[in-house]
Amino acid sequence: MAGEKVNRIHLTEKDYQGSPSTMCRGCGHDAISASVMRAFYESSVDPRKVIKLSGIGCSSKTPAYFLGQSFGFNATHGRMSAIATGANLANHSLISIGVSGDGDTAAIGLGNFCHMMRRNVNIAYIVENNGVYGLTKGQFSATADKGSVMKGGKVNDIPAIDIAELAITFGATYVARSFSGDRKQLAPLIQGALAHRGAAILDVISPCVTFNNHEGSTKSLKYAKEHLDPIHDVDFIPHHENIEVDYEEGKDQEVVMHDGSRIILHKLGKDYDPSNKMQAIVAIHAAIAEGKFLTGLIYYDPTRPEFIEDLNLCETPLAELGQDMLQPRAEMLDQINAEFMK
Amino acid sequence: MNLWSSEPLALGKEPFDRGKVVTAAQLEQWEKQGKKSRRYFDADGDGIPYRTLPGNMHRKAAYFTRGSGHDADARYSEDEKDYKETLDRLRHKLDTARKYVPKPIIETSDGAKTGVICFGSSYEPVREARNRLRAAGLKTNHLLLRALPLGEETREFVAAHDRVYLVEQNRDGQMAAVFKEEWPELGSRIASVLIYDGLPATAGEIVRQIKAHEAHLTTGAEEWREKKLIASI
Ligand SMILES: Cc1ncc(C[n+]2csc(CCOP(=O)(O)OP(=O)(O)O)c2C)c(N)n1
Ligand code: SF4
Ligand SMILES: [Mg+2]
Repeated sequence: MAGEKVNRIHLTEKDYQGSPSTMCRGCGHDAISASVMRAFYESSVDPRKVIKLSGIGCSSKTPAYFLGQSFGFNATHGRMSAIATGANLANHSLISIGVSGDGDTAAIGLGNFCHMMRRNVNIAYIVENNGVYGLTKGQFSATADKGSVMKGGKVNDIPAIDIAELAITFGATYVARSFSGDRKQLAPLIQGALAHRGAAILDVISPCVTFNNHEGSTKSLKYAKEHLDPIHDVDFIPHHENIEVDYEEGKDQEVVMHDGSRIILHKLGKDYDPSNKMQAIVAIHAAIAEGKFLTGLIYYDPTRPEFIEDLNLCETPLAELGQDMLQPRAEMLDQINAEFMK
Repeated sequence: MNLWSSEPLALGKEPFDRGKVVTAAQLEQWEKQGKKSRRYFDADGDGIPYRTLPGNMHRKAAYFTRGSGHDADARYSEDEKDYKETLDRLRHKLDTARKYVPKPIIETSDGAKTGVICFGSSYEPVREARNRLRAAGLKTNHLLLRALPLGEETREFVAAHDRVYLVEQNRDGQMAAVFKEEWPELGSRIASVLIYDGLPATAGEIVRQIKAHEAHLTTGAEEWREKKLIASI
């Protein structure tokens, strides 16, 4: 359409849309989808090169509501991490975005999730964290805070799993937390996750307005807004944009990504260095003790090789190799057989 | 203890076959021919639709994979008609698979009227048991089952024998139940040999159970049935 704004690959924002959402009106997950579309548009990512992966849950349904031109895979409950690992091995030229829930990731899928991060699989993995199993009508998940009250009045007396802390501990190399309603912070963090090569985990507080939005819940819209504790404001500058930034000494910090993109962190009072693992974990614990949600880029390590580098995979994706490349030659097999007979 | 040798590894001779995968070029051609690509539509009548692989850059290539809640064009659907159509197509696909899964391996001996069927790690003890039975005067034919769903060769094998011993390593005769559900008319020919004492199957135990069953057939004694030497379901 004449005059319609396009990005660097001549796509409009509409080209990043999907089917109409079936979420409840006001659900945090829809707001996150909007940020996802914004991030892909702003970073000028070709949707045909993207694979969308998810598990089971309201959150896991959302990849149908963005990037309609991308392949999507709704895995079984809690198994997205394993599918993502396999997809990455089969074709590492594709850009993976994973969307999961706190139940899908931190309850049934916890084991798979930990191993995916341990392997530093290249993915932008968003946990749409509402503290409950939304799809099955609001039971507590493993991220429900101790003392939080369920809609029916039941009080949770088991401590929560903190996804950001878990991610840092298990080897993820880009760990951020944000809030569904904060597109200004969330969209650039997603752009950063897409530019990063390795496991990028975004723990996004995403209120379930139907089952976990009442007084006494620590993941309600009101509670979340009142307890957000941003470390910094975040800007993302894609590698293809040659923008000069005026840095304020001691206040702004630039993080250069693998592809040359830059994340600019504008500090908000605290002195915080996201490359410091110990500091990151201490800061998370301090925030938990104060009942706050620490948001921003919490941890970043560009030095660790991603999974396919560790495995020394060839440049051509495995899925595109023919039989001639995948089968050993007869002499080679003879040699292997001979080795066993020694 | 853990040093074992197998036959030397051999190269597969079959070309790779990924099934009905459609490339971007084919999609382009289909479009020119006015042919629609429909992800879950049974175009060939075998229950197996054409599919694209991620990385295919054609505009029409991408689709969303989810459970059974979709229509023939991979669109999300809660319509009961779509759901039933999907499940019926999958039934059809399973039936098609009967012709393509690995075929059973059949070994025959002259004049044998008794059949033995086994699968997996029961094979070696069954082989030894058949030798011992032959020495004791009972010749058997053998079918090594290698895949489900069951195919026509297996049905013919059961139908060609008065008696078939189906050896499996579980308490309930689960494989026998599959046979009986597929071919109820042949069910009475199947007797289960069940091994579930926590130890590897032995030829001795297989021979013991088959002999006990044969003895019962010749003497008509009900005794073995009470002792549940052979569970028949
Ligand atoms: C194997 C299996 N177990 C249980 C379920 C039921 N189930 C569906 S969604 C869900 C929890 C989803 O919670 P979460 O991942 O937090 O997603 P939300 O709906 O809150 O976005 C459960 C337990 C299932 N579908 N599969
Ligand atoms: S039940 Fe909760 S999580 Fe699910 S769509 Fe509704 S508001 Fe969102
Ligand atoms: Mg949830």
